[in-house]
Amino acid sequence: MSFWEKVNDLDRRIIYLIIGLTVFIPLLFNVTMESKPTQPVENIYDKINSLEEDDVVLVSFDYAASSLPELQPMANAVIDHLFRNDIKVVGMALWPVGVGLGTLVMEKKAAKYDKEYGKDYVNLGYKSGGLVVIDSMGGSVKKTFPTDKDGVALKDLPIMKHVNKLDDFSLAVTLSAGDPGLRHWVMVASDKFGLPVAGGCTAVSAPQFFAYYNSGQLLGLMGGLRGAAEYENLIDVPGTASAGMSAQTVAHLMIIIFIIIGNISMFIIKRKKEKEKRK
Amino acid sequence: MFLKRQLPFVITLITSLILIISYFSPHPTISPLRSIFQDWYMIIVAFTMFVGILSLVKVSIKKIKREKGIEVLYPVITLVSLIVMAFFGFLKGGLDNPGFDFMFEYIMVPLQATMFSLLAFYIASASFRAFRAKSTMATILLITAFIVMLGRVPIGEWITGDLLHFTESSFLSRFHIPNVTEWIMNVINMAGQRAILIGAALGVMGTSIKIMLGIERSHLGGE
Amino acid sequence: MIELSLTQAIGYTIGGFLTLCIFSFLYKDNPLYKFAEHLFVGTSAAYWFVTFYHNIIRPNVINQFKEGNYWPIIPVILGIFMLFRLVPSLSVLSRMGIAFSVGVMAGYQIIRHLETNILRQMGATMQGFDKISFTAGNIGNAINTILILLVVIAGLVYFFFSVEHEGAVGGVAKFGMWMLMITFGATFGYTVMARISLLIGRVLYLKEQWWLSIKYLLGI
Repeated sequence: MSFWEKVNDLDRRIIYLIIGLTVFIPLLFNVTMESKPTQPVENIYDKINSLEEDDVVLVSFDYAASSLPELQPMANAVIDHLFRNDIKVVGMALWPVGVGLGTLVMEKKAAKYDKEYGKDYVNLGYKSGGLVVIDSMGGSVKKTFPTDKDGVALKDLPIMKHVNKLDDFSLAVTLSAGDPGLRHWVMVASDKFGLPVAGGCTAVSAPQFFAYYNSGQLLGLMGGLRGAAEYENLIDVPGTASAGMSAQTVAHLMIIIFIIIGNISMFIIKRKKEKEKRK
Repeated sequence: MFLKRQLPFVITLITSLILIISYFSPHPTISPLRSIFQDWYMIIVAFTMFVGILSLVKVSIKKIKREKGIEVLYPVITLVSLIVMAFFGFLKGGLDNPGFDFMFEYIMVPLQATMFSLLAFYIASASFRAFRAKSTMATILLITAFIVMLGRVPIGEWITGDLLHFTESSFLSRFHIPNVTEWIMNVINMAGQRAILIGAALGVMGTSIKIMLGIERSHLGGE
Repeated sequence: MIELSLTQAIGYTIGGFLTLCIFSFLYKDNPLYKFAEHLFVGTSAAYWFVTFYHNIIRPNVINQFKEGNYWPIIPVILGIFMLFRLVPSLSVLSRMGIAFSVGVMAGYQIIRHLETNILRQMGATMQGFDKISFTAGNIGNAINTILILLVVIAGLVYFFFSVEHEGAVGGVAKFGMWMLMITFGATFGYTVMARISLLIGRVLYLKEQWWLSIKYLLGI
């Protein structure tokens, strides 16, 4: 068996080990790499900066723990920015697990900025139905969500005093891992009710949203861990996304090397087989 | 027969027609109907999840009866964790109950996140074995992927910035990797995605019309 | 540096252990992985059950009944019919709930896809031409605007199978396919990025929270 044939038949566990170490070693050194912000991310930052104190922003946690490493840093960064600017936050979720993950973020940041539940922020919880929920909120938020996630009537929460319909929010930010999520917010909240919608999504789904961004249906877009790192950079609060960029860089290089080696071995083995056939 | 075919067809046709008409007409009888349908839909969809849980319980009980040795233990773990966590969820505090919170944050979240992180290993293995430039098309795909992979991490910035100084010339800066990536994403990718979006939307609309008219009935078991 | 409470330290230690249980699958399938997998299914089902009850059934059904609004009885009946899917002799009843939900979705899809994905997207493709200018400094944008239109048209022609892809149509479809390959390449690059990020998240968890918790519990 030639060298390249051996390479071609490499045990998958060795590849797993290499990629595991490729991610692990850079993280050991705690290198924080700066990610230069791109325009779609800057748009979200600028929009939040343009809001006035006491404006209410809707943040929808439309993801599960399966996308936690990509979307939780975005949630942390956006909520941090909103609380720092004294903007009120209404959280909700179109994915059940989003309720718990949203609570983790909001409680952590509320403690940092001394924000009070019910007055400065609230978590409305989960509703099933995707775009139907958003459309229903366009008619009445209190009818769609009669209570917050813990069963407290919305009419008893000071933050909800002036919020009746989707139009009463200044901005909707959705952190979305798929459907229901960003696409539905664009379809209903942005296109039907004219609410500015910004979004963070997993890198897998980011390329498709460039079409909505280009058409202006989407105000801004954070794609994957890099998008989160850009936002962390903008607000100058480094978090897990910035910490992960070093590993991300090395792992991308390793994947490229894997593809190149895989292709070289394919060509060499193919040529060898052709030569043997001719003989 | 009436329950199996005609009634479901009539229900689908009427609900979808009312929702479509409500888009074009703010008539006082139509708008409240739309709102009622929204409320109903949210509740009915919730029940589909209970179907899932009941079916999980049914399958687990079947497995306990069937399996032998250590294999019996696994469905028991599923059922016990389900019952314990649900029990905490119905105690005081509900979703905020400390026991429920603990199981959510320290058991369910790490498990779910790790389960999906295995994909990183699989994509590494696939990149080694499956992503082969066997045709011109595949080569274009891979080269684009290389550019994008480099352009979205700081090293792309470094190669054509600090190392090759492309950024210092107005002509060469067009070939600065992050700039090329941005161009690919905002022009070619964006337009390609737009074509896919329009094509898929036409498909979804076609299927929806077929469902409304009862031509497509696979959701009812194809009968 | 993260400051830990005892509950957190115990929690993160358990979380880290379960993370390693799942990773053990990479070597080969084993009882630890199976244990973690079944625990995952059980806790997820419980979480969904509790959330659906507290966030939907209680506020949108039970509380409504208490306030004298009995309308939700209809979706509840249709919802209970859905449960009959599991009882073969009564499964026909589940069709009513399905028919209603599918009807609602069909009604929404037709309108929303038409507006969002067709009209607005086509509009955006054309609108670029309002501002098109071939003066110095704007040529790049002008070329991009034209290119976007060409790629959208070619991509659609490629997806249009009612006409044979021959002659001029075939040429346009081929150009469309090339452009779609670039699109898929970009998506592939982003997919690699996403998958790696997921692993980074878990490694950071082990390195930060889990390691700190172990040190805390061992009193180091």
